Amino acid sequence: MPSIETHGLTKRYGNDVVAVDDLDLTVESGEVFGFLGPNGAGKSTTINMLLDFVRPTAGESRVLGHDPQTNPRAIRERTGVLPEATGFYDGDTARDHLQFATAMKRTTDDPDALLERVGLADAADRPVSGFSKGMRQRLGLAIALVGSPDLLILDEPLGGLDPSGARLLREVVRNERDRGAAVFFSSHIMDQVETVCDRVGIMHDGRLVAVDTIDALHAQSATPETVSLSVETAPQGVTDQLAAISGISEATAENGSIRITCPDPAAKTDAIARLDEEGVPILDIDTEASSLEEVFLTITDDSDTAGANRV
Amino acid sequence: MSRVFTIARADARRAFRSRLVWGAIGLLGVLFLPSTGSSARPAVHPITEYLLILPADLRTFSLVVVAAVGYSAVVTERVTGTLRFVLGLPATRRDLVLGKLLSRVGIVVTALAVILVIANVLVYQGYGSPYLLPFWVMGGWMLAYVVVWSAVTVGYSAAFDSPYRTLGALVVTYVVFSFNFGVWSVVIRPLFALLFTGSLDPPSYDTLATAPLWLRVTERLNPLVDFWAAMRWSIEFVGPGTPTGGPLPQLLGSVVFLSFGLLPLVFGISRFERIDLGDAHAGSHIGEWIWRSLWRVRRAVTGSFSFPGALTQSSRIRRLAIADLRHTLQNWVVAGAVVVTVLLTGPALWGAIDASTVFTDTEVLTRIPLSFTLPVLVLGIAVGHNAIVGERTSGTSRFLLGLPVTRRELVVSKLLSRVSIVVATLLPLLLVAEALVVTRLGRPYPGAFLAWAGWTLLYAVVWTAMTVSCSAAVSSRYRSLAATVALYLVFARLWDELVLPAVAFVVTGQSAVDEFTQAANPPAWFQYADNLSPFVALETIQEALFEVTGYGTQQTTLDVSLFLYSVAALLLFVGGVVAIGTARFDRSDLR
Repeated sequence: MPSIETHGLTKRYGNDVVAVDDLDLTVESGEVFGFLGPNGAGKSTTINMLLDFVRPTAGESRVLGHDPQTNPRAIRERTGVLPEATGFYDGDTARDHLQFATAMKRTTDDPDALLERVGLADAADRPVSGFSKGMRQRLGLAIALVGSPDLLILDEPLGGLDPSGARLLREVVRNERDRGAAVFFSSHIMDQVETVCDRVGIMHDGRLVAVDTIDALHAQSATPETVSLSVETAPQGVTDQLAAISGISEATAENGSIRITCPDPAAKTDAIARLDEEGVPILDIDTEASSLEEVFLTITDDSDTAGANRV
Repeated sequence: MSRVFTIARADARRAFRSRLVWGAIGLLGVLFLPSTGSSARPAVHPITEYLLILPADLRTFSLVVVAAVGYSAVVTERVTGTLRFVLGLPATRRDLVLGKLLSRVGIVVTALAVILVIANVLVYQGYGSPYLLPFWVMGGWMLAYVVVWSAVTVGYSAAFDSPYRTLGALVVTYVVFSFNFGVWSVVIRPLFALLFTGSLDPPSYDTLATAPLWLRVTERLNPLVDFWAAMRWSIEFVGPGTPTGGPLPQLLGSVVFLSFGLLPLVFGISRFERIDLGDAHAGSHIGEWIWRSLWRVRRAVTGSFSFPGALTQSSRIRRLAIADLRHTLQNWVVAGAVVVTVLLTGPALWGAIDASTVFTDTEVLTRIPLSFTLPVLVLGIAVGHNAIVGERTSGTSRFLLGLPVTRRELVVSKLLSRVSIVVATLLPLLLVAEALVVTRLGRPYPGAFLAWAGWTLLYAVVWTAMTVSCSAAVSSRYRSLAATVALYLVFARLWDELVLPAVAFVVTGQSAVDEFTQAANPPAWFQYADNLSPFVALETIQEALFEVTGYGTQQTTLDVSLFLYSVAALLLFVGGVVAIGTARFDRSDLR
């Protein structure tokens, strides 16, 4: 059974604003799903609908097999949630919050162990009013982990975290996946999520414009791959020969290195074969794949173009 | 259900940390117990009378505690975002509201029970017997009273998305049903009278049991009438006293009274369960609609509007004031205050302006300003208290002062816009009052109109300037409210008890001032000291205006020098308060 499933999920505000448009999405149990997109793409609204914070205008969703509107408690008992812009009780300590969360979830989790896990053990008895944004994020993460949930829903969990906090978050996400939990988290910081996600979905203007593994998205991307081939010497005219190969748009030679640009990633093997034929010894190969951010920009540009064409 | 208790326990723990909650409970004790203790004696009130006087006071004071404890129960969770934390855990929205209700009811009931126990001890001391049964029948009704109002308060807190709207709804509900403000007797009861008798004049009655049947039934739609009638009947039933009528009407009345708590709660839960949380996609505000309509009219009249190219200081202030007017009209606190002002003033004017066998027309005319004093206080606070400090706390002062605007220009523009709103709210009410004068007293009395309308506007301008100045002088909304209330308490309520005795001690060597305050012609030094209070100066100016326009009464005389002194004192006071506010704002650090 999928952890999250939506069909035609739509949220409109008035007649003008379509925050989420006809979203079909499936997140399988045990996978880490990155929900990506720029600010205002509809990520948080989607999560708010999954958490029953916001009611959909149309469509349906199921979380852990339950409808969020009709059975929110059943979902929240098995879900750990870190909502974006969540507030905490300023007068309460971090331990107070975790004790309340464990009481609500009817678990016997040790608040101190959870605080230790997110690096807040030293601040356990300090009122939350004195916490920095990053500390609040860590506290929210600790609360989300209460009760070893089957599903973690984290809305912009990287916001406010310093590099060590971001690394901690990635560790927690990997550990939770290894435990068997599904993790669904949103982010607009692409390079931070690339290393932990099994699959990503990219939202743009309320629409889901791509869903796949990161490798597959790279392959789909129109952003050309660049390959640097270190050689002892680059014979005269070899760059012209390489540039003539189908799937290669450009080839240059400089300082013992041949650099080729391949709109078609498969063309790089043809290039290597041609150099072998020419008797050019290759000392090293370095591939510069497009970043997820470039993939995202390419996809969203395509999406915009398609939208403009529809108009 | 058990999660309701978990939420209630956690909420009660937090609520007990709240200074507001403790302050309200302390205020209840301070306001109620001293007067109760001193009057709990057979020589002052027979026990039958005392058992009704006690809840009569307590029902008003206890509402302050109910409001303070309950108004923020749910809505603050929305405003601060903690709702997302709680609803991220296995709690439903209904669990949250019921948990909040449980904890807040627990706090209010505990506080009131303590007060009642002390009051019962005072009864025992004063009357030689605790009168346990009748006392605790009354006490039980009072506890039910705060439970029902707590349900109303928490229901509203769940239904609305800002604490101020919640408070506004609570105030409007109380004003509609309470006999202290006349909305029921002046607006609703006459409508029923029209329905059943064809006349807008309902018959008066001493006890409800002796009223005509239709009136007995319709009055039962007022839950506060039901509460009082049922409590009175119950106390008299267990003795001392003799109950009037049978138990059935009281039973039905009790059902209406309990429904009064239940309906807002159900409404609040239902609305709270339907709303989206946290997404700021609110619909258009009626204030915005009013503003755009006014702007369209202005354009139609004056043509396309454009500002002059070169900005002068006055044009900057005008731009700031216009922008502030627009934002203020979009403010729900201001909108609510305007509604409350109309609710308070309308019935008061309707009751006050009428041909009477008791008062002469002149006395009726000179009493008209009384109908405006409380509404103007409320309106002035609502419109002015957040004028400048609101810009500081929201951070928009940095935006404004990043433009070519000085802090002083900002204060002046705020004064202009907020005073304009208060005056614009009062003008239609003044015209309504004058229409009532013409229709009910038969003549327009133009001289008197100039006196009472002019004075009312002066009073409104002065008070609003004071509230805006307090807003400029401090760094938080609560401090602004506290400063405004302190100004009012010191110069209006405690002037006779605190300041004048000190002056009298310096002049006469004694601090007693009763002989001067009650004298027809107090000594000059006392009058001049007294008129240093802006509120006393306003009274002097009012009397003088009526004297000048030919509507003086036997109790008033025109003392020109005292009048001029009062005008000067008032101007100096207001100027001083504005100057202090501006100076403090000039020196303050902006966050």
